[in-house]
Amino acid sequence: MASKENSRQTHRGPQGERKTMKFERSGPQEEERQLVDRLRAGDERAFEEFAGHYIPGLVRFAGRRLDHDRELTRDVVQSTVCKAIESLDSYRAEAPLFTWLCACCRNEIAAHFRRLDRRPREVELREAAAHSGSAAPEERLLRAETAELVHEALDRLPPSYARAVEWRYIDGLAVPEIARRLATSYKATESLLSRARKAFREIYEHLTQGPGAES
Amino acid sequence: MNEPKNLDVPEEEAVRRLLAGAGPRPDIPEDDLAAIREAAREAWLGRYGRQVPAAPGRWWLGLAAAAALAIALGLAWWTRSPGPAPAAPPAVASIEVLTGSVRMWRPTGEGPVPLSPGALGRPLPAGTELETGEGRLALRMAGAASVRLDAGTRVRLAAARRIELARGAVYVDSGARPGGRVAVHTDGGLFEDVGTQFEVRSSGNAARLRVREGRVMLHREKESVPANAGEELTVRDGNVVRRPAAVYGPEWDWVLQTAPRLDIEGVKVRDFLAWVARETGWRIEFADPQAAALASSTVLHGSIEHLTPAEAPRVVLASCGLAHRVTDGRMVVFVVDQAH
Repeated sequence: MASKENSRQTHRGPQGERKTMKFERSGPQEEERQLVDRLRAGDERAFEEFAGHYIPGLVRFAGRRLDHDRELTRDVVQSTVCKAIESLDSYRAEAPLFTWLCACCRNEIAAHFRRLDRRPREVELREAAAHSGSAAPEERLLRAETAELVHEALDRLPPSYARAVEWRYIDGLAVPEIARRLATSYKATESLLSRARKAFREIYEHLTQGPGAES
Repeated sequence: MNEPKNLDVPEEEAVRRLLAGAGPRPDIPEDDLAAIREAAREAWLGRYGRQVPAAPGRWWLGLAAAAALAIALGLAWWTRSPGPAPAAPPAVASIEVLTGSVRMWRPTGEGPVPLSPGALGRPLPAGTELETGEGRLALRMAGAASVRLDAGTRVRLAAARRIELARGAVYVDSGARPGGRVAVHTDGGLFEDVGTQFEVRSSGNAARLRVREGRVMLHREKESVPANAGEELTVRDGNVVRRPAAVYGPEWDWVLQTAPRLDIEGVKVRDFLAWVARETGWRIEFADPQAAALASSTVLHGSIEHLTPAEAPRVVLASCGLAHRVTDGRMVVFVVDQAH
């Protein structure tokens, strides 16, 4: 993931770089850098923010990669978060914090399978064959996969962006109501929604680019 | 105020469709979040949360001088006696299976430290204390015995062959190897393995032993009481009560669920069945010579990592043209009639 994002920054050229910098350096990513600084300083509220926003997203991220095995997912995320906290000093804000946490989580998942010495199945067990007859229809499967990617894209958005687009497009709230909830102006809310949509689409397209895009 | 009119409608519509189609993000079970958050907080407090703020006043000058003196003395001693660092206590066990929440106290008393799947394979030195909440644990002792801890158990690993059980239940499978024997100490007495499979459960001043295979000796103040396979001893208020005990069935389910999974790659069906028999307590029989021959000649490939020893035969045997039925602790393996 990190290398993908780095290459994206490199290949966009001067104009693209400037746009990226605006989103990633002076906006949400700067907030994340500050959040990490506050965590390092022992700020209790920073821990609550960190736990409240990133842990649920990480559970969904790991669950999708562990066949939604609840117990295993919980253990892997617990281990990931503990190790990530231990390594916070190595976080340089070169990638979004959630991306960095996902990379830690992927390492943890890979380590889990290495420990189990998991091998590819060489025989099709009859139970598996019997179950394949009751598999969900292709369309339903596709819808479920799309939903999972949408949810992952939401998890990867900065909290303020995710909250705004969920209110607007899932809960169906009008812009003035969102503005009221955010205690900000109508125009600022419009602008926030516009940036949130753009960021969402970028992340979603990135996730749907294929196996090489994200694992 | 009106709804915005100047938005890029196709882009907004695309996002709206995606989000509306996907619906809200799924909720995470509260107890899972709480468990992760608690472990994260522990890690965070340990790393960043206990920073001592700079104290006012100038007393630090004296402290700094004292510290400098201590460092100088320490350096002088260190340069004069460059001996090796104190050796870490020897490992007496390692973690083989871990489910749910488990906490550990180090031999130094430091803890509790929540254990996660990252702890699999971790060596545990003598003096380590372990506590299973709703989780369970399987350990491989230094002598090769398999030891499993049920939920709600607290133990201290006193040595490679000695476990102190404060509460809950411990299952020991020493595989009939003399080097693997493990003794379990409780308030009710010391249960010493004579090459066997057994469970010791302790609560308050009562302890219960159930022997599945082999023989166990209970050592108390003035007596030693043997218990054989299929027997149960209960020690309560100084009295020992003996009664028959099943070697298979629901009371052993927790042991099955904590069993380290068998890697069946390249394993013969007969060896697989021997593992099933050892873990479940079932006695394996073949319905006819053809079934026995098939079990001896068939080599397995694949994985049964998500199946307990009781569940695995259904899947594995079906792939080999075999089937089984279990009645009164007997597992009968037979050839499937292809015509039916």
